[in-house]
Amino acid sequence: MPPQRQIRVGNQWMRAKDAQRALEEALRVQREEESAHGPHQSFISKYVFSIDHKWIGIQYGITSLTFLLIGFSMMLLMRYQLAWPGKPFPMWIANFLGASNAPGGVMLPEFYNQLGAMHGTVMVFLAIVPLAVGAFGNYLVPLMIGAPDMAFPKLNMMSYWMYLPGGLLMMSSFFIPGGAPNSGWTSYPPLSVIATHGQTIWILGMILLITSSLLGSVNFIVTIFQLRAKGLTFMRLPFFVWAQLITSFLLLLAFPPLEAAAILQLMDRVGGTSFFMPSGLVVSGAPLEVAGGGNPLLWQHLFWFLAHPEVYVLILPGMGIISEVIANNTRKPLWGYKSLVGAGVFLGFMSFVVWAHHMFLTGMGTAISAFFQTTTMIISIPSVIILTALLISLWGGSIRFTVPMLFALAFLPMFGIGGLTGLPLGLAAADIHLHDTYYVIGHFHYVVAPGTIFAMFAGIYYWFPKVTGRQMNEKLGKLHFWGSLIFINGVFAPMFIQGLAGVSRRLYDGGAQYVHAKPVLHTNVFMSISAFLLLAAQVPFIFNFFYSIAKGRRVTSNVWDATTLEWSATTSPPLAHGNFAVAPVVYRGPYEYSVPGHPTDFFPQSEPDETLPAPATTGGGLLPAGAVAQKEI
Amino acid sequence: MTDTAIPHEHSEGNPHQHAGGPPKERFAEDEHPTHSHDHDPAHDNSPEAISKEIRKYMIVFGALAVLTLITVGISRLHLPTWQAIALGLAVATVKGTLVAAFFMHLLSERKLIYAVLVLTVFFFGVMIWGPWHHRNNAADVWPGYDVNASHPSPPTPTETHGTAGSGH
Amino acid sequence: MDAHAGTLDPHAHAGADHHEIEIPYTVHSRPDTGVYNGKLGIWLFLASEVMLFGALFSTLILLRTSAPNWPRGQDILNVPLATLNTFVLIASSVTVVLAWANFRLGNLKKGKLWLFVTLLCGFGFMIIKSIEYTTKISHHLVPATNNFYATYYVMTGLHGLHVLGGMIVFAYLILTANKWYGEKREQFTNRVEVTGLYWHFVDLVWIFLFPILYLL
Repeated sequence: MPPQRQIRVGNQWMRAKDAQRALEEALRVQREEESAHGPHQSFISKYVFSIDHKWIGIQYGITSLTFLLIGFSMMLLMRYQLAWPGKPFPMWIANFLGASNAPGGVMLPEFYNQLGAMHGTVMVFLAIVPLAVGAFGNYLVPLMIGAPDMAFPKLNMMSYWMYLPGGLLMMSSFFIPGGAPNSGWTSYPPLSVIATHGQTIWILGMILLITSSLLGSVNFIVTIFQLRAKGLTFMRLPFFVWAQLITSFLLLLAFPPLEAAAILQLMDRVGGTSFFMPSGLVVSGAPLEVAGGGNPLLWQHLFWFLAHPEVYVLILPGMGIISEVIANNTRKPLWGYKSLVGAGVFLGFMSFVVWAHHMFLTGMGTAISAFFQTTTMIISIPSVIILTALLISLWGGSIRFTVPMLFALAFLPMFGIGGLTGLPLGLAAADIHLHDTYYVIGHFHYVVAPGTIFAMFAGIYYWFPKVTGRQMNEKLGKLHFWGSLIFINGVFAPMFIQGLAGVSRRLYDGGAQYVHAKPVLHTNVFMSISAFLLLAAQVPFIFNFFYSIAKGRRVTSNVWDATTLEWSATTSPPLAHGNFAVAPVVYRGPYEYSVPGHPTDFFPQSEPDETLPAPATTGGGLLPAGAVAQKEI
Repeated sequence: MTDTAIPHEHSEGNPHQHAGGPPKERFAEDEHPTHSHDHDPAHDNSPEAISKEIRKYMIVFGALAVLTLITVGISRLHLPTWQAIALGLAVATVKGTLVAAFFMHLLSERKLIYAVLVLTVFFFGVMIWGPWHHRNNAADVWPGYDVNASHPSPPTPTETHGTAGSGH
Repeated sequence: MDAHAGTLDPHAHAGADHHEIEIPYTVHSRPDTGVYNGKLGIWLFLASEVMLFGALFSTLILLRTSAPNWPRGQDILNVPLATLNTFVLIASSVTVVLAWANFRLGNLKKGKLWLFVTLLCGFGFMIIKSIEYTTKISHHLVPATNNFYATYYVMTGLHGLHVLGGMIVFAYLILTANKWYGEKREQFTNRVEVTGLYWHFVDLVWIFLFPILYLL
C-alpha cells in the first residue's frame, strides 16, 4: 500500500482528493473572476488574433502538429512506392490522389518528386521549427523567465499570421497545374528555374515564412534580454531558454540570405533574369532564351548559408527540452551547466562557417574543401560536449521513468547515432562516395526524427499538464514510446546500408534499375513496413492527446515537482493575464534538486530561502505562487 | 539505486547558482522611474544639450554632402578598377561611419548593441567571401563555359563545343 | 526577504482592465542592458537587414568578378539623378533626427513638420527613382537584358521597397502624433527614434549602393 500523500495547498496540508477538489474550486473561482472583471473580448481578438503568447503558442502547436502529420503522410505515400514500385495504391488512396498524380493508382514519377520536395519543406519549415520555436518557445520562454508576455505581443501575433498563410499557400500548390514544387526542398537551379509553377508558390511561401521567422526571432531575443525576472541572471536561465536564445540568433542572421536568394530565383523564374542561369543552357534540345552569365553555385551558397544553421535550429530547442526533462526526472542538477551553455553558444557561432560541406562535390577546390572540412570537424565537438553532459547528468540520479523521461533517454543514443553518422559526410574524401545517397538521408533523419521529434514528444508529455491542467495517460504514452522507438529505427537504420551500397536519393523506384542497388533493394520493403507500423504507433498518442484534453486527470500546478519558474510560480494553466499573480523573484539556479538539508527534493527558483514561506495572498482563491509542495505521511 | 546522500555539485563554483537571497544586480529603480537615467548624452533632453546635438548633425550633413561630391569626382578620374573600387569603398565607409556614429548614435550606444553588430559584420564578411571563391572556376566546372554578360542571344550549336578553358 | 516578494504585480492587474498587458521596459531602459525594448529590437532587425543586403552584394561581387565583360555603371546609368537622390536621402536623415530632437524638446508641431519633410524627401527619392526606371524601360533595358541590369534593378528595387516601407511608417507617425503625444509622449518619442534608426540604415545602404552600382 503506497504511503499516503499529502499535498500542501496554501498553508494547509490536504489529501490528494481534497487537493483536487480545492484546485477545481480555485479554477472555477478564477474563471468567474475573469469573466466578471475581465474585459469583454471578442472571440476574434481572443482566439484568432490573440496577442497572448500562450494562446499563440497553442496556435503554433496545433498548426505545426497538423503539418507534421501531413508531412508524415507524404512520406508514407513515397515509401509505398519505394517498396513496391509501380504497384497501384488502394482504391481510396488512388481516388484521393487523383488521375493527374496517380493514373490507375500508380504514382507518377513527377508526383513522387513533388512529394519529395514537399515532405522536406513541410517537415523543416512548417512542422518542426514552428513546433520547436513557435509553439514550445512562445509558450514557455516568457513563463520560464518570469515575464508577463513577450516583448512585442502584437508582433508575435503577426508572426503566426504570416506562418499560417505561408503554409496554406505552399500546400495549395498541389492543386495547380503542374502540381507542387518538385525540385527538392533545396530548389537547386537551373532545374528549379525551369520547373513548373509550383516552384513560384514555394518561393512566395518561403518569403512569408522567412518574414514570420524574422519577426519571431527579434521578439525572442529582446524578450530574453529585457524581460527576465529580478534575480534571473543569464547563468541562472534554464538551458531551454539558452537554446531558444541561440536558435533565435541563428534564425535572425541566417534566414535573410535565403530570402535574398529566393527573390533572385523569383526574378529568374518570372522576370527572365539570369542570376543562376549559366550561358549556353540547352533544355529539351532547344537553347534557353536567357541572357546567361549566371551561376547555379551562387544559389547553393546562399541556400546552404541558411540551411546549415537551420539544422541547428532544428536540434537546439530539442536539446533544451531534453535538458529540462532529464534534470527533473533525475532529481539532480544537470552536469556541466556552464559547458552546456558554452558549447551551445560555440555551436551557434560555428554553424555559420560550415555550410559548404554540402557542396564538397561542386568542384570548389581542395583548399576551400579543406577549410570547410576542418570547421565541420570542429563543430562536432560542441555537439559531443552537450550530449556527454546530458549523459553524465544521469549518473547518480534518482531516475523516474516517466513518459517524457523515456523519450529523453531514447533521444541520447539516437542523436548520438545521427551525429556520428554525420562525421564521414563531413570528411570530403568519404563524402565523395556518400554524397546524395541514402546515407545522407539516414544521417539527417536520425538527428531530426528519433532526435528532435522524440524531444518534441518528451516536451508534449512534460508540459501538457502545464498547458491544460491535466495529465496524459501514462500507459498509452509508454505504448506510443516503445512503438515509435522500435519502428523508427526500422525505417532509418537500413538507409545507411543502402547509402554505403551507393543507392542515390530522390530515386522514384528506390534504386530498382541499378545493378549496385540489387543486394540492398529488399530493405525498401522492410523500411516501408516499419513506416506503416510507425504510423500505427502514433495512434495511441493522437488519441491520448485529444482524450486527455477533455478527460485527463486534473493535476496540481507543479505535478512534476520541478524547479523552473513556469512550474513553481504560476498555476496550470497559467493565469490568462500577465502569467503571474505575483512577479516572481529568482533566488537560485534552475536545477536545484536534492539540495542537502532541504525538506523536499526540489528547491524552486522563485522560492525564498525560508523553507515554508507564508503564502502570498491574492484575491479570489487562486493557488498562491510557489507555495505548493508535497510530503508523505 | 537512488541515493540522495550523494553530495552533488550545484555548479562549477558559480556563486550565483547557490541560494543566496536577493540578487546582487543593480536594479536601481523600479520599472517606472520618473525620467530615464540612461547616462546617455543622446538622451539628455535639456534644450542646450539638444541644440549642441543639432549642431553636430548639421556638421555631419555638411561632411556627407562634401564626401558625396568627392565620390563622384573620383569616379570621373577613371582610375584602374581595383583602385577605383578601393577608393570608392573607402569614401563610402567614411560616410557610412558618420551616419552610424552620429545619426544612429552608435558612438554612445551600449555594449550589447555593439556585440550584435560585431557578430553581424563577421558573418557578413563570411557571406561575401564564401561565394566569391567560386568566381573564377566556372570554366573548371563546365569546360567551354563562356560567361558573357551582354549577349542576350543564345549561342548556336556549333559554338557550344568550342573554346575550352576560358582561363582564369 | 526581498521586499518585492509577495507584493502584487501591478502589471498583472493593469492587464485586467484592458486585454493589453503592460510590458516592462517598453519606454524606459532596463538598467543592466541599458536599452529599451524597441531599441534592441530595431538593431536586431537591422542586423538581419545587413545580412539581406549583404547577400545581394555577395551576388553582385560574384557575378561581376566572374564576368569577362561587365559595363561600367557611370557609362550606362544616370549619375546626376542618382547623386541628387543621394543628397535627398542624406537630407532626410538629418530631418528625421531634427524631428526626434524636437519631440524630445516638447515641440509637437515642429516635430511633425520635420517628419513631414522627411516623408517628402522619401517621395522625392521615389519619384527620381521612377524617372530612372521608366527611362530605362522605355529603351527596353529591363532586368532580363543582362546581369548588370538584373542586379541594378533588384538591388535598387529592394532598397526602394525599404524606402517605401519607411515612408508608410512616417505617415502613420504623423497621422497619430497628436493622439500619442498627449497620452504616451515618451513611447511616441521612442517610436520616432526607432523609425529614425531604420531610416538611417536605409540611407546607409544607399551610401554603398550608389558608388558600387553607379560609379564603378
